[in-house]
Amino acid sequence: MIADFSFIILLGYLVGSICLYLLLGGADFGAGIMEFYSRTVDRHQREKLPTTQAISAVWEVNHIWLIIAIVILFVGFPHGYADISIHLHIPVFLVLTGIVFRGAAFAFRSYDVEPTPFKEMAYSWCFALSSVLTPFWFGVIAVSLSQPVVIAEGADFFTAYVNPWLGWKQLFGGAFLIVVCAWISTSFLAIEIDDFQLMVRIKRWKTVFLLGSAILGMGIMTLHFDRLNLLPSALSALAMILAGLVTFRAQVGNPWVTRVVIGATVSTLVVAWASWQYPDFHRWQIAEGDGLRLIESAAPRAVRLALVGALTAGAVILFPALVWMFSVFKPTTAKSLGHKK
Amino acid sequence: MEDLLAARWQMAVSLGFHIIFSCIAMAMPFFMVRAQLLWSRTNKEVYRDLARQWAKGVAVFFAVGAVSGTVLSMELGLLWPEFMRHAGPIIGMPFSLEGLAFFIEAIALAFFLYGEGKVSHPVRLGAGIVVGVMGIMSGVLVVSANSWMNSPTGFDWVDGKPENIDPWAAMFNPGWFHQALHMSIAAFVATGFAVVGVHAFQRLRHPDSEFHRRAIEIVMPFAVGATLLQFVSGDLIAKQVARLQPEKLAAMEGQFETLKSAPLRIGGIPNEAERVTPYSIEIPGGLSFLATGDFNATIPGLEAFPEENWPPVAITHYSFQIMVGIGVLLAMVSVVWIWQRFRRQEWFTEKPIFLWTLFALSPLGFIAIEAGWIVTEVGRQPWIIYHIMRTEDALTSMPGLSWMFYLIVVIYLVLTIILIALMSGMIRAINRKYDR
Repeated sequence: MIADFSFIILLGYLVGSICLYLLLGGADFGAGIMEFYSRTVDRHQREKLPTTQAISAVWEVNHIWLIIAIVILFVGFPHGYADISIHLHIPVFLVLTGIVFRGAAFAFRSYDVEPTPFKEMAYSWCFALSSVLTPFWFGVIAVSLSQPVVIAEGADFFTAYVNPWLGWKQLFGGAFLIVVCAWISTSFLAIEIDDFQLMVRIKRWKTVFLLGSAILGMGIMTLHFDRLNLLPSALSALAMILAGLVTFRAQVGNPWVTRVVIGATVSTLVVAWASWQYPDFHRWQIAEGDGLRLIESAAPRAVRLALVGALTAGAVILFPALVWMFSVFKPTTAKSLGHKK
Repeated sequence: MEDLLAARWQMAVSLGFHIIFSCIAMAMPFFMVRAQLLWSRTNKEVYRDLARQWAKGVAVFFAVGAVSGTVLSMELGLLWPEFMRHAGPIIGMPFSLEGLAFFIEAIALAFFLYGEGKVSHPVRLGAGIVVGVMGIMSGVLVVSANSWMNSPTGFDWVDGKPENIDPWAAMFNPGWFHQALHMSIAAFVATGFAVVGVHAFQRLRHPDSEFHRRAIEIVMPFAVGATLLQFVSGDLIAKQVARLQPEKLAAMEGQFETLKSAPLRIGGIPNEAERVTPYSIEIPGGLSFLATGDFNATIPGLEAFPEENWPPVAITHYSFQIMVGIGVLLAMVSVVWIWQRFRRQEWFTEKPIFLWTLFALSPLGFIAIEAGWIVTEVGRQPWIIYHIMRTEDALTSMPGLSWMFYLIVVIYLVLTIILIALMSGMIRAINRKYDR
């Protein structure tokens, strides 16, 4: 099989949908993570409300990027998808439970017409915990793909189904993704909140999360020191600079400028990961094989062409609709949001 | 529990759970749009409240449906990786288009739910219609992928691998139209009778509330129309199954012998060991007629096929009987409803006996859908791709699947309990308003 145009475009769509999922879905996970903080300091009502408002109308849409990414994976890269499903069965299943609990808790809380303190607490814990666990396992999965684990034929349970994902590098990846989601969320919130005191606190957290992701990100790079190469390292550094700009730069007039820079940061990070992973889908040595190249994993050309066609047609319809939706439900300036005091 | 059985059960529970939410997302938007239209025409508050309340209900169901659908797309890989490895590219078209349709549906739903005061009235109405149309499109596309498993086309199977894949031929496989039509109509039958049943029960308890009366009036025509149409689509799909999957038809009917002028069987207990289905009412030549349009046609029985390729006969037969039985029952009620409309009566919104009937019928549409899916899926066994790949060969090598299954059951049980509690809460809240 040769790496033709359809293959490259398809890879682009895959990376693009992962970027969008991490940016938009990640911001929702981050909002869930921030709920731990708002719970502990008993400023419950005050801090939860802007969080909820910020994501209510668009929250379901944000999570559909995951479905698009999964469809691209199993249609466009079926062998890789099958291998993930077999050897990362446990973390993928845990991601699933996280998605169910998170989505359900959020919807139930939004539409419960008879809330009681107990129910509020249960929804809140469920929402917050699953918002931490889901990105954690996604991070574990992302790092697992690059580990050169050996899975011999007839390997025991631990070697085949646990060892591929259980390790320091993978756990660092999970922790890193949690902090990144929290940073994305606080960065978005900081430009959408009009309460000054709240804003100061959110900004403080934003800095903490930035430092956290810097430390964890460097931790991951140190653990992979023997396999670092130029492009991913340079892109990671660029993501760091962009994140620093978002975090420390004084408020820009138009919040969309900040939003775009947040998007650029997240995309750079994903592309850094993807370029480090390329050209492999995974590096597991299954039955004496030597990893799975992306191109080996890909579907035949006729399928790739049809998939690229469908996704392109879809994008032509979807993006204007999305822009319209965000322009209706996301205010352009901080002042236009919410009530005046 | 054995891994294969656990995986099949997990798939069945996940699909059986998800299908309810998909049906609601397909049909409910049209009920909401009708209420919304009536509100703009009459300016009566009750219609606006109906549209709002239903929209709130739909939002919750849609959210649970979205997550349970995401779960399914991943479970396909987790449980049946060898199926996805080979079939993923072939049936990729309907799945990727479904992803897009669902995306548009979610955007439109955001406009319908949160758009009040932010976008104009016609935009909201249009968004409501888009939600319904895209819901139906999603359903049609997913069913098309399923019907490919029943009538696989669009590839050559060479040495256990697909070659020369034509994704469009696979999407428009010979079974897709009949199966998609049958499912789409079923969504309206099941959701319609379920909604009507809930409101009928509330009307019995709150006889003065206008809210529930209007709800029944709005939804009943959808339910009745869909129920009667379903007989046409049922006939189409039966003929299609007879042509494409004769073993499945034989199992549905408990037909072991190959017969000229085969009878239609009502009831009966299939006995696979003795190859007979005793205790049934037989209509001579009925099966031949329904399957081919000719009373004297020869219908192959299960004996015409190797026994290792038989589907589980009893489950398939019982499920088929349940589905058809419910269809007939709902059709009888539908005919009575049309009769009362001709007589210009209001039995179905006023007389307790009719309200009790509607309440008793409310779960039946969904039971029929579940039974119908059991016929489709169990009736295709032992194949996951008909005559191409056996279910056991698609299974993951990962052991201990029963634990995942138990966990899924517990999760879905909890979700169901909370959902019921939430819906009751919403109904109580609206009753407080209309009882005053």
